[in-house]
Amino acid sequence: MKWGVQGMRSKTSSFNKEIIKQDFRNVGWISIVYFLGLFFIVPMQLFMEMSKEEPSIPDDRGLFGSIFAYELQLFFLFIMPLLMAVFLFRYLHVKGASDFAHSFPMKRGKLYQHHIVSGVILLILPILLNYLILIITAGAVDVQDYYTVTNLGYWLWLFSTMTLLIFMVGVFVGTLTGLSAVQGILTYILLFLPAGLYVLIAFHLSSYIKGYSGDVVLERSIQYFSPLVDLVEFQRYAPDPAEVPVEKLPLIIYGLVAAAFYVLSLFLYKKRSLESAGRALAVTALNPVFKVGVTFCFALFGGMYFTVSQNEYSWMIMGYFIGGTFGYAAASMLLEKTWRVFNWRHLKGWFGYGAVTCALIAIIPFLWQNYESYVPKSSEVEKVFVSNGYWQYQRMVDEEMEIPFITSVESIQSTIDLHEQLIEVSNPLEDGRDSFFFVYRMEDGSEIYRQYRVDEQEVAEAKKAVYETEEYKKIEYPVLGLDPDKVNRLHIGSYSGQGGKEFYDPELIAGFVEVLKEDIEGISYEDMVTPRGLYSNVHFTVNGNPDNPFHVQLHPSFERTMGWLKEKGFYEEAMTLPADIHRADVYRWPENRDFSNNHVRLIVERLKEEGIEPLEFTSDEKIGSLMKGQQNQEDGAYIVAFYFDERNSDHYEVLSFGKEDAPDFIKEHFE
Amino acid sequence: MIEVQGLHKSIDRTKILKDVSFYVQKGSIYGLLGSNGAGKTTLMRILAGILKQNDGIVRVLEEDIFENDKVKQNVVFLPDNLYFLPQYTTKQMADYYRSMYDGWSEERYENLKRVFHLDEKKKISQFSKGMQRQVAFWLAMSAKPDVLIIDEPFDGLDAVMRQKVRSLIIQDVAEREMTVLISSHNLREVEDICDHVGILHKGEILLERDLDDLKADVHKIQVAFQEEDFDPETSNLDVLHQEKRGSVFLLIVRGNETAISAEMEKYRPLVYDRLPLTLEEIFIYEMGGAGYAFENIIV
Repeated sequence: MKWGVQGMRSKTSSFNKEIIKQDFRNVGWISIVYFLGLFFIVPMQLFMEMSKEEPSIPDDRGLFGSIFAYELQLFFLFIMPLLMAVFLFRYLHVKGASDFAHSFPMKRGKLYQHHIVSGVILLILPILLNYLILIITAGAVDVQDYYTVTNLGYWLWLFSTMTLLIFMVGVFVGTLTGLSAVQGILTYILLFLPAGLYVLIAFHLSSYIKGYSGDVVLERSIQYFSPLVDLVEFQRYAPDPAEVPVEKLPLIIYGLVAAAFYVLSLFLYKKRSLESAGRALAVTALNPVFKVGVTFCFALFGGMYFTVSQNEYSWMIMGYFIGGTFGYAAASMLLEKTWRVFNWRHLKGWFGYGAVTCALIAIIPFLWQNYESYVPKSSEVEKVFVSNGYWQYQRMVDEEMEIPFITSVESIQSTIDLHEQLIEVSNPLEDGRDSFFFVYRMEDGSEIYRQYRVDEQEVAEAKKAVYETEEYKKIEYPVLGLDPDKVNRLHIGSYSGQGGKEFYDPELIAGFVEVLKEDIEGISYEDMVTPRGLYSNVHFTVNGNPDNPFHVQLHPSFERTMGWLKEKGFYEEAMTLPADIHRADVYRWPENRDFSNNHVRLIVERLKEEGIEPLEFTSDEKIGSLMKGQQNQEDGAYIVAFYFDERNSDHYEVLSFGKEDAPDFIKEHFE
Repeated sequence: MIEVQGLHKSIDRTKILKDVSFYVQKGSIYGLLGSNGAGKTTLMRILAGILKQNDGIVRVLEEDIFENDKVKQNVVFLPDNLYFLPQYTTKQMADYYRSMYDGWSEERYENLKRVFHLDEKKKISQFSKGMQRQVAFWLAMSAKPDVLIIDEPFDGLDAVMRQKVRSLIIQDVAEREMTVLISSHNLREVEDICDHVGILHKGEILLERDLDDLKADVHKIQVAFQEEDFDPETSNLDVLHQEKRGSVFLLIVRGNETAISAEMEKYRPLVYDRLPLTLEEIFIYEMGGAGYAFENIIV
């Protein structure tokens, strides 16, 4: 037969140059813009810097640094590959173009591969050209101050991989949808979705589940859930020690993910029904998945929004309702391409999807049910870290410091006791004033994190047992692990702000640190939590770095240190003396308890606003005895506010007395 | 050549085509008639291998057409809304077609350039609608397809060009036995080119006919008699339609022409004329009995 013969005389090779040519004509401009963008941000900037009289001081990040405006590079990296994907596969979304392209004798897979080849060439070329300019420059002149060849190579690798990843995700979404605008938006959503969902779910878990630490989860691993976040994170935290935005292993993984999206898109393209051009979703089977997904995400977001502002379960549920309804309506509008979706059919659908979403939200916390009641057995725990916050721990990890774990069996047991009490009294939605953070390092090498917020009186006994262990003190007072030989400078600043003492002499430093450590080792729980008197701040400069966690509050109850200061003649400068205080105001602790927060300082603010006349003292003798009051109390009989400067009524410190320990002259006055 | 059996197609849960079956022979020109929304374009997109049917058999050149690049080498589809690559000239489009179709004939392309008198270096988007349709024909005919599928081919062409295109199609059918499927909402447009027609209505094929048979089979006659004893009901004629104006009968009769005149002679008519019958009239009378408002479908 005639057609059979014709089929056999196939002269066309498997490669069709005309398609590539057409792609170049169609989307070549994207490649040019990408090239120019990168060129002006990177090589051009380099030439400008080198020709300056006084070049800026480069940071150690080379091409990812601030000279080469990394954020601007990211702007092009985020936008151009997606534009490429949208314009290259635009024909899939326009009926006429789609019919035209698919009426030719070429299988869809081959057509797809041609466009992908065009896209890859057009995207890699601008990066490669800039790379060549930079490497030639590096060969011709000394650019060591700005970047190294290794750094440049990494730049090439990172930009190529991330460009291809964003491009392939864009292509994937393009084969999934029938509208180019939806393709654009959905691609960014997809690239960000895992991280966004992760944030939403982590937030909800920490408000449903006792002990779940959203902070840990978010800080530790959020970047692994979204390549966009991964790229941006690098810049956000400036003192981060990372030299490159994305490490090698993630970069390899992103490359593999891009390849996976290539295969997936090919598969979808072959299966795609071409009549879906112009429809929001090309795969009709995905419509319900999309609807329930959008409803679910918006419900979670609504819940989070209202919980953050109201902190109540009823508002949270309200948030689910409002968010979910909004999401359902938005998804329906998108799928039907009209805003007029308010009819009976959708109302029924809204019930259905609402029910599914409620079920999903209700199920999530159940998956963590064991988590809530779980307390490690002391025999399985190798060591444990306790502090009042996650950040304290993370900082030590980041700075590669030795972490003061609790290791002795008894101390671990008292930590576990405290943990058990916390599970009993804590409520994830109620924001207690005190936060407890646990890290268990188990015998099998795994780590367990828990975080609770409660008011400390509820667990005072258990907390005391932990706090008074020598090991906990090492956590609370990092200064116990400080080697005095490494201290270059020591500064003691009194609370009043007047005076202060600093010394550089290693012998003095060593002597001070020694007595300070002795005092802290012997400190009682009460002195840790509610110390008496006005403290001074001690700052250390260690190995030339003034920014370190060793700073400590020096309380008058540190007898040995006080003795040492007096002996050396520094006491008057280092501590606050009655003479430094201009005036002391004494108030009766108000009877009515309708203060939202019991913090004494806030109570004083309230009393001042209400115009209550305090009892004023100016004599050094009286002030001296008033300075024996306690800090951080939440209950008592009298409040004392100390003013250091008559011109500045905002600079004051507050102590308080109970009925028993108050000086007689106040009691007499108020009775 | 084109074989469709039990074809079903739904788009967005709307049934577009329901159990469509028909057959187009090699070297035949088949007219697919139907009103707007009858499903013609969808059917043609399926026949061109663009859309996939939900159910049924669609075979072109004796193979399934969908995703079959070997068959598609010999099939060209011209849609009613023409599409050209943006900013392309005819010459560039020709390069594109050449790279796609193995059967592309450069000689044919050059010959047709003389027929159409169009500047091949001008951007196609700058041409008028009618000129764009000529470009589409030019490109399609240069690919020398065995099967040509054209949706609303004469839309926007003036009478001269219409005639030119018609003769080009007929020439290829005569010389190479090209098979042509033409769709139209207007029977008059295609009656002088097609040899077969099929009528698609609301997604279903209402009827299929060979036009030559049809024309030979239905006749419009005008007769008048001296005596008043002629009654069309009692005669041996298969009368599809009758009118009486005074003593003159106007009849549409099915049957062999000689048989009809022999029957008429029996009544010794004063006047016996055979009048020309348009294809449209034939369809209207053919289907009149079936109760369809046929005019609305075709015209």
